[in-house]
Amino acid sequence: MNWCILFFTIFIGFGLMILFNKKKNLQLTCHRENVKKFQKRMRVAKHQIAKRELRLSAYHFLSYNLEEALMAQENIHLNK
Amino acid sequence: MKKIFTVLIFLISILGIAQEEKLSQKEILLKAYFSKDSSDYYFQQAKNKLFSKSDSIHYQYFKFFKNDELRNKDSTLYYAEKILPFYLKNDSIQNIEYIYERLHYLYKREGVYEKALVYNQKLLDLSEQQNKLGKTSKYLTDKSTLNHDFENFEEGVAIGKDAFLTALKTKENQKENIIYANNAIAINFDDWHKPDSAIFYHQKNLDLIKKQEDSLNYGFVFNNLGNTFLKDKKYQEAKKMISLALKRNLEKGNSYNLATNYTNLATIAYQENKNDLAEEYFEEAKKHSDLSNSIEKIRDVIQQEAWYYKKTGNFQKALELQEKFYVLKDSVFQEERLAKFAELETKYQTEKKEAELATTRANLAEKELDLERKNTIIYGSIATAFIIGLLGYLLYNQQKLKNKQLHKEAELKSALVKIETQNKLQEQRLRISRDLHDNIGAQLTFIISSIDNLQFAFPNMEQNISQKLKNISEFTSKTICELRDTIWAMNKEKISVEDLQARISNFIEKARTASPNTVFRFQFDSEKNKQYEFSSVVGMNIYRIIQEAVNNALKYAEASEIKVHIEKLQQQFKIEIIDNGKGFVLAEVELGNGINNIKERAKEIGGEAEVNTIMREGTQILILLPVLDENS
Repeated sequence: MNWCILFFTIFIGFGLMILFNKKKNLQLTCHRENVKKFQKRMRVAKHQIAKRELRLSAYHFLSYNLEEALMAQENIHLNK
Repeated sequence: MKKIFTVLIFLISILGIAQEEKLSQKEILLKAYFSKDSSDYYFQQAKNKLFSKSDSIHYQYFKFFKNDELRNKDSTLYYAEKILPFYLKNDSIQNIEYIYERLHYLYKREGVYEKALVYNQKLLDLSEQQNKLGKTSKYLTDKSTLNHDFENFEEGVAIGKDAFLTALKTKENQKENIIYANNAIAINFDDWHKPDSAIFYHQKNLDLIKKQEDSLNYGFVFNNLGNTFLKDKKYQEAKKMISLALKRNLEKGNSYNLATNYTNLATIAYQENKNDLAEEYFEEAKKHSDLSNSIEKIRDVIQQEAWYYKKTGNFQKALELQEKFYVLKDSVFQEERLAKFAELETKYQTEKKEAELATTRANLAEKELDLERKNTIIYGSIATAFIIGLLGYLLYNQQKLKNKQLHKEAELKSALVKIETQNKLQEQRLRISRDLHDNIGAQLTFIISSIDNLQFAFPNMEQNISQKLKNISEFTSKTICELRDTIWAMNKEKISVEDLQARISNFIEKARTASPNTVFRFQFDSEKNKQYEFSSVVGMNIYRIIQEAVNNALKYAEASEIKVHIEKLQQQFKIEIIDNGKGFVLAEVELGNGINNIKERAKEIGGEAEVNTIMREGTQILILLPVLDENS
C-alpha cells in the first residue's frame, strides 16, 4: 500500500512538473513574442525620432533652412 | 366473477386447514411431552402427521427430550444422534444448546464424566462465542461440579471462582449464578476437607437466599451445609439444615436432591444410634436415587448403608454393599477414564490457551492492521501534502514568472507608449511648425516684399516715411527670423555646448566680415564643458542675447574690440559681452528694445542680466544662468 502511495506520489509529481514545464514554455514563447513585438515598435519609433532629430539638427540659425528641417514623416499616423 | 370468488374461498379454506394441521402437530407434540400417561398416544398421533423432513426432525426433537425426561439413556442418545446433524447443519444454536445441555446432564448422571465434560466444553464454547456471560457462568459452575464429582477439588474450586467472577460481569441471572457458583466452590472445599472454607461459602449463599423470596429452588444450599456439619460431626446443626432442604425438595419433588437429603438423614440417624429411623431414611434414599438414575447418588447411598451395617455388626451385608460400592466407584474412576478426563482437561486448557493465543494474535494482527492503517494515513497525508506543496510551488513559480514577464512587458509597453507618444507629439509639433512656417512666414515675407515694392514705387517719398517703412521691413525680417528660431526651438529638444559654440563662432565670423576694423574675441572652452547640453530654448536665447549685444556694440558703441566670454562657474553659467566703446549713462539713455530684450530673454530662461557701462571706457553685459542639473 505504502509503495503504491509512493509510486502514485512520484507519478503525480512528475506529471505535474511536466505539465507545468509545458505551460511555462508556452508562456515563455508568448512572452518572447510580445517582447519582440514591443522592441520592434520601439526601434521603429526611435528610428523615426532620430531621423527627425537629424533633420532638425541640419537647421542653421543663419541660413534659416527650416523648410528642409521640418520634413514631416508621412508614415506616422497621428490619428491612431 | 362468481367462479373466481368460489375458487378464492376454496384456496383460503385449504390454507386455513393446512395452517391448522401444522399448529395441531405442534400442539400434539407439546401434549406428548407434558403428558405422563398418554405420551405414547400423542407421539403416535404426531407421527401420523409427518409431511416433511422438518416435521420429522421436530418429532424426533420432542422424542429426545421425552426420553431424557424418562431417563431412557439409549433412546435419548439415539434421537440425539438423529437430530444433532440437522441442527448443526442449519446452525440452530438454541436447539444445539438445549441438546448439549441434556446430554451433559445425562452423562453426568451416568457418571460418564469425561463425556459430560465434552458437552460441558461445547456449551462453554457456544456461550463464549455468543458472549453470553450468564450462560458461561452457569456452564463453568457445571464444570466445577464435574470436577468435584471426579474428585478434582482444587480444580473445582478454581473453576467455581471463575464462574463466580463471570457471574459478576453480567446482570443476566446474576443472583442465581452466584448462588450456584458459591455452592460449587463450597462442595469442593467440603470434600477437600476444608470445612471452614466450605461453611464460609455456604453462609454467603444463605445470606443471598434470605433476600430471595423464592428459596424453594435452593434446597441444595441447606443440604450441602448440613452435609458439611455432618462431616464435622455437628449432627444437630446438620439435621436442622438437611430438614430445611428436605422440606423444600419434597415440595419441588426433586429426586436427585431428595436422595442426598435422605442419605444424609440416614447417616445422622445411625450416628445417633437411631437404627430404625436410619433404615427408613435409607429406603427413601434408595427409592429417590433410583428415580434420579444418578450413579453418584446410588453410590453414596450404598456406601453409607455399608457403613451402617458395619456399625450394626451385619458384616456380611456390609461387605456385600461395600463390594457393590467399589464396583460403582471403579466404573467411575477407572484409570483409563481418569486419563481421558485428564486428557480432556488438558485438551480444554490447550484449546483455551490456543484460543487466547489466537485472540492475542488477532489483537496483534488488528493492532498491526491499525498501525498499517495509521501509517497509510500518515504516508497518504505526507504524499498529499507533498503533492499540494509541489502544486503550490509550481503555481507560485508560474505566477512569479508570469508576474516578472508581465512586469517586463508593462515596462516595455510603458516605454513604448512614452516613445510613441513622444514621436507622435513631435510629429504633431512638426506639422504645426510647418503650417506656421508656411503660412505666417509667407505672409511676413509678403509684407517685406510689399514694403520694398512701395519704396521702389515711390522713390520721392518723405524721408521719415521711408525710414519708418525701412524699420517695419527690418522688424518683419527679424520677426521671420525669430519665428523660424522659435519653430526650430519648439521642435528641437536639446542643443549641445559644442553646437552652441559653433553657431556663436559662425555668427562672430560673419560679424567680423561685416566689420573688419573691429577685433572680435570669443572664449568658450567647449571641450571642458562638452558633457553639458542646453535645452533648445535656453540655447537659442543665449545665442540671441549674444547676437543682440554684439549688434548693439557694433551699431552704437563704436567699439574697436568686442569680447564674448562664456564660462561655467560652480553653480552658474557666466556669459560676458564686453566692448571698449564709448559707453553710455544708464540713467540718461533711454533703453531701447535691445537692452530690454536681453533682460527679458535672460529672465525667461531663469537667469539675470546686468549692464555695466562707463563713459568712454566701454560696456559690460553680464548674464548669469543657473545650472539646474548636470545636463542643463
